[in-house]
This record gives sequence, structure tokens and C-alpha cells, in this order.
Amino acid sequence: MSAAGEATSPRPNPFAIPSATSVRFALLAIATSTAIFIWGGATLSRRIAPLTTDPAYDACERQYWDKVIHRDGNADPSALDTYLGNLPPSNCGPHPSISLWPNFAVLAFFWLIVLVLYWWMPAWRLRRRRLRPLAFDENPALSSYLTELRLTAGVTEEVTFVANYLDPGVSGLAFGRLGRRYVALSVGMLALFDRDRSAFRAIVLHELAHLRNRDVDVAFITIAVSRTYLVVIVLPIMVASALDLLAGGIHGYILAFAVTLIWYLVFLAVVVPLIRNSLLRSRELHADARAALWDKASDDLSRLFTQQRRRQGGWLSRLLAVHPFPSDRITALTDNRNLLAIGFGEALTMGLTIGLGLDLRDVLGVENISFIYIFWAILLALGMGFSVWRDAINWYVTHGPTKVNMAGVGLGMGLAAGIISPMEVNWFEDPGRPIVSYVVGVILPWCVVLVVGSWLCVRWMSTATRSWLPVAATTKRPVLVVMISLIASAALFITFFNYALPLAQQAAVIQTRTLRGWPQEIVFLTIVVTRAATEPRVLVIIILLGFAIYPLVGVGLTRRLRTTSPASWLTINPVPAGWRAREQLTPRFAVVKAGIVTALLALVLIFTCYLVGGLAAPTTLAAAVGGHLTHALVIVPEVIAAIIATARARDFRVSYGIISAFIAGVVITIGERIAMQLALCAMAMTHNTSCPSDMNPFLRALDVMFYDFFWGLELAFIAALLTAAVTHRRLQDNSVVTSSVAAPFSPSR
Amino acid sequence: MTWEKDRQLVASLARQVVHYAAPDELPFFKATCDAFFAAPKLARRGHRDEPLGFGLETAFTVISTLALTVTVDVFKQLTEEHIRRMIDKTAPTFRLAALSKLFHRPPEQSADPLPHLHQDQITKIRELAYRRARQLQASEEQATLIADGIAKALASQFTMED
Repeated sequence: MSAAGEATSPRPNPFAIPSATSVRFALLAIATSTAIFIWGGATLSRRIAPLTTDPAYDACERQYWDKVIHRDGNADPSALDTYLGNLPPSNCGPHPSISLWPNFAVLAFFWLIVLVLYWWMPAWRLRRRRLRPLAFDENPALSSYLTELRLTAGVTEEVTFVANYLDPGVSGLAFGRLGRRYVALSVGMLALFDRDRSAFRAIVLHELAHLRNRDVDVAFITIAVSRTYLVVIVLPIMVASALDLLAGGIHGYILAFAVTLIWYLVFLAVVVPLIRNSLLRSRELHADARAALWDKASDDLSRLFTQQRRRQGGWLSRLLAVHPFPSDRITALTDNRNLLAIGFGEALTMGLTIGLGLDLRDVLGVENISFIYIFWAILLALGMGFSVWRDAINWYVTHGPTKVNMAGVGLGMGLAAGIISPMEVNWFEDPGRPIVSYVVGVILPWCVVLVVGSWLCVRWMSTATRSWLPVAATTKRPVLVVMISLIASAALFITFFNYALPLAQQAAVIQTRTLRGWPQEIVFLTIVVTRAATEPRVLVIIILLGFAIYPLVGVGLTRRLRTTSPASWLTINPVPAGWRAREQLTPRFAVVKAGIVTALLALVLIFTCYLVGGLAAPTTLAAAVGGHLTHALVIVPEVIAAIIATARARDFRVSYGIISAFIAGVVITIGERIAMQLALCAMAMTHNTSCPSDMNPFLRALDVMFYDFFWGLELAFIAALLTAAVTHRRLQDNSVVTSSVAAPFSPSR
Repeated sequence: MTWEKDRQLVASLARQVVHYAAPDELPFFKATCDAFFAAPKLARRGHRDEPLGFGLETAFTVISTLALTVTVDVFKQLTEEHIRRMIDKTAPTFRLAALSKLFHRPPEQSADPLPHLHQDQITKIRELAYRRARQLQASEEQATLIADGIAKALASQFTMED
């Protein structure tokens, strides 16, 4: 980017929406807490209070599971709907010796240590590093200058400046706890005060930016969580598990439990430090970006980063470092886009956390899984929602592309990795079925469903956010727009979780219960297709239509609120005159005409069939109406309408496809009945009788038609997705980027 | 008491070095000196990849801490030289293995005044100071300044009042 470009281009504000770092921090805390609650509690329970046997309870449970997985040989195909919903309750009551207090005790112990570490760490650091309050008496100018910088940075808290007289290099460090904030300056920094005042200023402002961004608490609690988790939780539990294995022998459930435990704990032991490092790197970039807002600090920081001596490393060094490479920092000073981007790792972490958290159901014994889904869906909507909004701000201000595809894939992979465990596999192991076939036939396809579904969810969120962002930029209450968007995202994830997460469990139960002998892949595919059929039809239609219409409402409102400059909260620098808002997305309801035209053509066909068929052979008409023809005549036009509308639309393609299919379905459902009545009237007239006036058959048939309409809409949705994938076009906005109006601002305009 | 005197000698010599090489560091020298003698092993560059630190390894370092570390080493060398001379002056019969061991051991702190040094001895100490400063990752310029400062101070027979 040229100097002129830097001076004139609007820069997206990375502080407009809560950063992904905050979300990552929350997820780190939740992930570790969940793992500790579930597995730490389980390990402690097993050591201090081994499960006692209760013959009555054990017999009840055995009977229940024999029934559920059909080991008693009494097949009951009529139970299909029941199993497509949820597993029936066992009615055995709670396990006589299961208590949650060890889980809560371990969790409380963990957080107690974390808080003690967080509280004690500043004092320990002061003591260990021999940090001393700055001796201002020998340099009074320094005192007033530091106060001036604190005010420049907008840090309202009291800050104690301490010196590390033993560090000859140039370094600063922000640390502290609630109510005690410190900035440590090395003696090299103090010397810099006289030798290079601008460099001194830039470094102190960077440290003050950490305080201003409230990084200290987040960073040091993260560090405390990470260390406590590894030292106090992972090591003891692994040792305890090893002892259990040695004492109890390696077999069946114990083996699955131990492998799962190690899987979770080791996995987290690797992931938690990586999340911590990623979080800290992100905070550094945010501190640089914040400091760059203050007069001239950007140039001074850039000079320092350019001068620094440390060699660049490979991807592993980048992954393990808690500071970004200087090249990344220089880039972040002038280009905030990286701060607003959502990455694969971030989404993977979110998915992993949610996946681990879903095990809470088993531990807490929650009968209604929907409550657990709602809880995690809301958290995920917050996490992904903020990230997607930040990405959209970048899209809006800089006219850059949106980059959410890898995030969607990462989310799905994280979900799969978090949910699936050896315990999960072992739980549904049928003695008559090799475990490998279960993994290949159910678990792997399930992972594919999770990844594809997550990707679709994130894509939808991005699309919806892009359509509503111009509204948020114009309205006086942008928070309200963001909140509504998050609520919609939460609704989407609740729907997705309810649909996708029980699939493997249901496939396993259905196969052992009613479809024994069928290939597992086929059973799973059947469940995937028929799962939605068990939900209330009206609800499914409302959900599909709602998610299709929501982005288009934003587009419609955007046209009414057309603006020439972004709201000040979206950029960190004044927007130059001549800046053009991102080309507004245009609602193209014309494509919905496809639905009406298709439906009308279908109706003409239907009427012709009825008339010709009825006049030629009246009995044929009755047979046709009662047979598959009617179903096909409703479903097929919906699918065709969806395909045409999706193929014609340039953006929000699936939305247009669904709406088009819906319109086609409504027109056909009502029109077919009218066509039928007209055909019957025409037949009656040829026989010199009156038209049938009884409406009851009409209404009864309407109910059947509604069922077809529902199936047609579901198939239309899938067809729209496939059409969008097959006829992949660049989105309208992407084509704008590559065209002559690629830049958000051109001085020539 | 003895160690206190040695400390003052070292501080005085180092102060002269700083005065010669980087006078703008003098305002912080006393505090640096106190911190150094409280924990000399901690006198080193901080860990650059510290969370919420600035995270850069800049070329710039102050001379005070380096000067103190180098001066301690030089002082040890001087003390060693002094002991060697004292041993040389004593009767050869006392030059036994035990004394030899003592000679090779790191010298304890000495309260004796420093001997007068010849030019060639000062040159050797200057070289020692230079090498040590470079070992401490001082730049060539800084190492030269520190070494020259020490040589100059020794040549002028610094006093404790400095």
C-alpha cells in the first residue's frame, strides 16, 4: 500500500465489535472447565467413591439397554419415530452411587488455584525480577512525561511504573491484577528516554494500550488457566488413570474410558497452550493497532519493528511464539484487516469447545438434550457471530472479500473432534457388529455432515451479516442490529444441533432396533434424509423460510437507508471525501418469478391432464389424484423453481431458491385444488350435472397437498444448495472487487 | 565489612566507566548498582517473548549493567594478580600445594588496596574486559567503550571517593 493510499484509505476499526480474543478467552475457560468438570470429576469419583452395585438398578438398566439396542430379539419397527426423536427415558432413576460433588469440587479447586495465581502473580513478578518503583527524583521530567502518556492513552486506572534495573535491553511489560496495574520499564528503556524519545514513547504507549484494551486480566488469567490445567489437572489425572488401568486391567469400558480421558486431556494439553499463544499474539497486534491511533506512534513502532534483530522463523515458530513476527506487526500498523479476519484455528477451537461441552449432558443427567443444545448454541452464536461481524466490517470498509469458508470447515472439524471419542464409539458397540464398520458407516459420514452443516451455518451468518451491516452502519442503534443478528445465529445453531448432533446415536439405535442387517451407511443416510420428517412440518417450513428471508430483509432496508460514508464507529481514521460505500446488494426479487412461472406452467399441465384424463376416462382421474402423480406435480415444480431461481440469482442464491420454491408450492397447492374443481366441473357439465359443492374432500386433499408441499420445500432446499454449489459463481461483491471499482476510495473519483 | 569495601571499589570503577562511556546513564546508575549487587545473576537481558511485553530484541542496550558485570570480573582478576604477587613475595618454601590450590580458586573478597598496575597489565585487563563485554553480547562499540573506560580508570588509579 502506498503512502498516499495509507493516508486516504479508510481503515476498519478492530475495536468496533468485541474481538475474537475475548471469545477465545471465554472458550478456553469453558473448554478447560468442561473437561475438568467431566473428566476430573469422573476420575476423582472413581478414586474416592468407587461405584457401588445396586442389583435392582443394574437389572433395570440392563433391561433398558437390551430393549433399546434390541438384544432381546423383539423388533418393534413402529418405534422408528420414537428413536428418530430421542432415546426413551430409562425410568431407572439416578445411579445410587453417582454424585456430582466431586465434579464441582474439582472445578472449584481448579478455579481457586487460577484465581490465587492471578492475584499473586504480580507480587511474585515484582519480587522475582526485583522490580522497583521508578526513581523519579533523579529525573522529574520522566514522571510528568509518563503521566502525560497515560492520559494520552486514555488509561483512567492508576498505573504504577516500576523499573527493572537489571535488564540492559529495551523492554516494557504491562502486568498486574484488578486494582493494581503496573508497567515495568527496563533500564535500557529509561536510557532511551533521553536518547530516543519517540521510541520510548511508542513502547510505553504500546504497554499502556494493553491496559487500555484490558488485556492484562485476560492474558494473565489465560496463563494461569493454562499452567494450572497442565500441572494440577492433566498430570495427576493421567497418573491416576494409569494406576486404574494397571489395577483393573485393560478391557472394554475401562479401556475406552482411559483412551477417551487421555484423548481429551492430551489433546487439550496441546491445544490450550496454542490457544493461549494465539490469544497473546492477537493481543499484541491489538495493542499495536491501539497505539498506532495516537499521534505518530505508528511511525515510531514501525521503525522499531523494522530495526529489530530477531530472525523470522517458520510456521512452527510462529505457532509457538507469544509475540507476532515483526513483519506481521508492521503490517498490522497500517492494515487492520488481519485483526478482523476469522481464522481456521479460531473456529476449530470454538467447535472443539462446544463438542467437549456437549458431554455435560451425560454428567449432569439432563434428560432434555435441547437445553444443552440451546446453551451451547447461544455461546457459539456469540463467538462466531462477533467474528463474522468483524469480517463483514472489513468487507464493508475496505471492499475486501469475505473469508469465512475455512472458518466454517474448522468449526465443523472442531465439533467432530470434540464430540467423537472412544467412549462414544464404545457406547454403541454392538457385540454382533465390528466396531470398524460402525466408525466407517456412521461416525465418518456423521463427521462429514457436521463439517458441511457448520460450513453452511457460517456461510449463512456471513451472508446475513453482510446484508445487515449497511443497516447497522446507518442506524442510530447498531447494537440492536447486532443483537438481532446474534439471536438469528443462535436460532440457526439450535436448529443445526437438534438436527445433526443426534444423527449417529439415532443411526446406531435404529440399526440395532429395527434395521438389523442393513448396511450401516444406508441406515445413516436414511436417518439423514428422514430426520426432518419427524419434526412438525409447519415449524420446518417457518424455519426454512425465516432463514431465507432474514438476509433479504436486510438488503431491502439497506436500499432505503443508502449512505455514502460509513458510520464513524466502523473506521479508525476519518473517511476521506469521495469514499464510496460498498456497492449495495440489490434485492432481485425478479428471480422469484421463477417460482410463479414454474407453478403456473405446472398448473396448466395439471389442469390439462385432469381435463383430458377426466374427459377421456373419469376413473383415471381418481386414480391419478389418489396416486403418485399429485405428489410429483407438487414436489417437482418446487424443486425446479428452486433450481431456476438459485441459478439466476447472483447473491443470496439459496435464499431466493427457497423463497421461489415456497411461492411455487403455495401456488400449486391451492391451484391444483382449483384445477381439480374446474376439471370436475367440466366433467359434470359434459354429463349435464352440477359442479360438486362439497368442500370437505377439497380440504382433506389440501392437507395431503400440504404434506407434499413440505417435502417439496425440503427437497427444494437441497436442490438449491446443490445448484449453488454446481453453478458456482462469484458473488456479486467479489466481481465488484475485480472490476474497475475495486478500491474503496480512489482520488480520481 | 570486607565485601562492602570491595563492592564500593567495584561500584566506583564501574561508575567511572559509565561516566566515560555513557554519561547519560548516570542518573540511573545508583539504582542499577543497588539492584545489581542485590542479585547479580539476574543482570541480563529480559526474556523477549514475555506475554504482554514489547517483544522485540532491539540492538540497543545500556552500558551500566554490562559495566558492572565486566568490572566485577576485572576486579576478580586484579585481586588474583594481587594475591599472586603476595605469594611471589613470600618465601618459596611456603609455596605449597595448599596455597597453590588457593591460588587457583576464585579469590575471596579482599579489603587490600589495589596494587599499582603497569601499562602492560592494564593492557591485559583491557583485553579481558573487552572479551568479557563481548561475551555479554555488548556491541563492538560498547565493548570498546567499556574496556577503554576500565583501562582509563585503572591508569588514573581511581579512588573510592569517585
